[in-house]
Amino acid sequence: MKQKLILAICLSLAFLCFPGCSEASRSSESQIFAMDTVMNLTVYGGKADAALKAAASKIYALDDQLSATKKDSEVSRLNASAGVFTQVSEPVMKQIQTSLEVSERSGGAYDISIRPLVSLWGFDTNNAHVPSASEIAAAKQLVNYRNIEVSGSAVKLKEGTQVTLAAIAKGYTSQTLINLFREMGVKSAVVSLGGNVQTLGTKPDGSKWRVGIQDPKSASGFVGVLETADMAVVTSGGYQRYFDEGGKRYHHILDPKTGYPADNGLISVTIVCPDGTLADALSTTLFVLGMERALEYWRTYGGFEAIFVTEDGKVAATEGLRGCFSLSGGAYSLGFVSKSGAES
Amino acid sequence: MNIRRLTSDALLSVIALTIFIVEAQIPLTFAVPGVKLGLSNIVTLITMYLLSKKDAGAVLFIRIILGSVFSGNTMALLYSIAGGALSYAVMCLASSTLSEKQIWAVSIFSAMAHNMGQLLVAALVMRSSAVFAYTPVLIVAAIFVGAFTGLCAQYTVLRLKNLRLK
Amino acid sequence: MKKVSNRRLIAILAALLVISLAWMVLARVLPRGALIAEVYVDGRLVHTADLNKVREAYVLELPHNKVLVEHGQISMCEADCPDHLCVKQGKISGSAYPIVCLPNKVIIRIVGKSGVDAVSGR
Repeated sequence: MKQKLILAICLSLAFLCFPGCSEASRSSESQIFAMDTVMNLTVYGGKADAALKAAASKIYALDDQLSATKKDSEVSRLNASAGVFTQVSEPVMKQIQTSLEVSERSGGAYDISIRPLVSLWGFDTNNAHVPSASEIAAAKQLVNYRNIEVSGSAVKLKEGTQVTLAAIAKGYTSQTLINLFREMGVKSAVVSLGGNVQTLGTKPDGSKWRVGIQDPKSASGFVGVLETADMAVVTSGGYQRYFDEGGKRYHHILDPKTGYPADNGLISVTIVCPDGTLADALSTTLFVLGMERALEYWRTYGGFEAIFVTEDGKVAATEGLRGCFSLSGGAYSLGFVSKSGAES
Repeated sequence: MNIRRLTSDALLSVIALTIFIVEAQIPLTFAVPGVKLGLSNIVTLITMYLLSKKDAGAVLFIRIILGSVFSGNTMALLYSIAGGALSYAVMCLASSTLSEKQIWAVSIFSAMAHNMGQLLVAALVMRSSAVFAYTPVLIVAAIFVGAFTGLCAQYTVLRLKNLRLK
Repeated sequence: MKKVSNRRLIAILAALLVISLAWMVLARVLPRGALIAEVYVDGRLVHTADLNKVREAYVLELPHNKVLVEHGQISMCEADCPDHLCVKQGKISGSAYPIVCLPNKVIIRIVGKSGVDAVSGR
């Protein structure tokens, strides 16, 4: 009798551990259409479903707030009230402040007041075309990040200034989602907001996330794979949005100084950084700066790593990515750049 | 159940458990899940031949339960039970069919059964039959590993036959 | 108790060994089986196809798009969206990135491991 009791206890104990077995590695995914792109969210663990629900509401709310094309978004209202101080919410303020800092540091290579130029080229509508030189000159006059004044929680735009947060909104959103997940107790998640990738923790089994860097020249291949944890990975490249006119290709990343698409030999720039907002802003900035000036920026300010893909088939990655980044296939050659300037 | 037998069982359980825990510390670089030496199976085999099938079952069961408790890996318990149950069943069958000089073969078959049991659990847990792609690897591993542990058990049984364990 | 000879045992095990090794070799050498493509419209799965089994190419007609399903590859051949980025993307045959038609909420993707957990790009 005693033996049977002992056996029963042992078996019960054994069965008790069944439920917990695969809880941590259970995942839930969701696909959301917002901010003019498709977003894929993957969350692991018991809180996955709750986290995804919260994430969806957050995304739609932010989209309404930040879109420069939606008539009653906060950004649109800001653009409509140039000349006076307007109160803005924390998300908008954070993005404006980050943007101004990057503008200052990059000498204006990144500028959220570039909206007049973007509208002129028609990239934010569906009628993209090459404007005339005089139209571009006129629009360029209105582009200057110094026309944006911040005081407390209010922002004042100079007359004629129009801002767009398109180049930083997705990064801000991915950072917000990661913070939200973290608060909810999620330990492992990866989100891809139209190509803006950000990860939380590592995969449930402890291994790092593998993020592929898109190869614009091949529809289904990667330039390389990055192994990372707790980082945002954002890539900017001309190949993402463009139109052809008169036999030439025009892409959507405009240089605020020239008014034309940035043309400096880069196909794409990928930024790896713990802060999603900054990563998004920097990817556009460094693409416009061109590799040399971008590396200077990296050496001066740091806080992130970068991967540059050039038109002549070379890939340059900053030193900090050694051991984390490797090429896929033989289409490119890889070199690492150190802070001192040496290439290897 | 006499005291001698109980003591033998307890001793053998401890030996099996110790071997199990020590073996768990050895990192196997095969990169295939489930490949391990299974050295504690030597004890299970010896128990079966020197005592009885029942004793072997008890020793195995204790080793599985305590082994997973002490190594802190309760997730593995599910796999261990499945693998253990199947390997025990096959061990019983095979030992009835084969001679004492063929313990090496009994060991191989029970090792294969153990691995298949684990694959089955993996397929259920992951709800996918993709894991069965590992079958050939595990069969080959079972053949070599099983032969080794089986031979160890065989020679031990030969030498210890006159020991009065029950 | 019937006696099973050692010879027999060795024969059985050797056979198993050979079969397993052959299985392992074949698994590497032969092509990977199915290439499943899925088409979603507004989040709903509307069509699945094993591209490796497609003998004659066909066109899948959707309300605003047309999908060309061929052996080993799939693409968006027509769309009434303004920028036609989905059409420009061309043919896909791997699960690296899906073809997306944002305005019409159509996604064409290939199921399976692409070796990465996410793609940074677009």
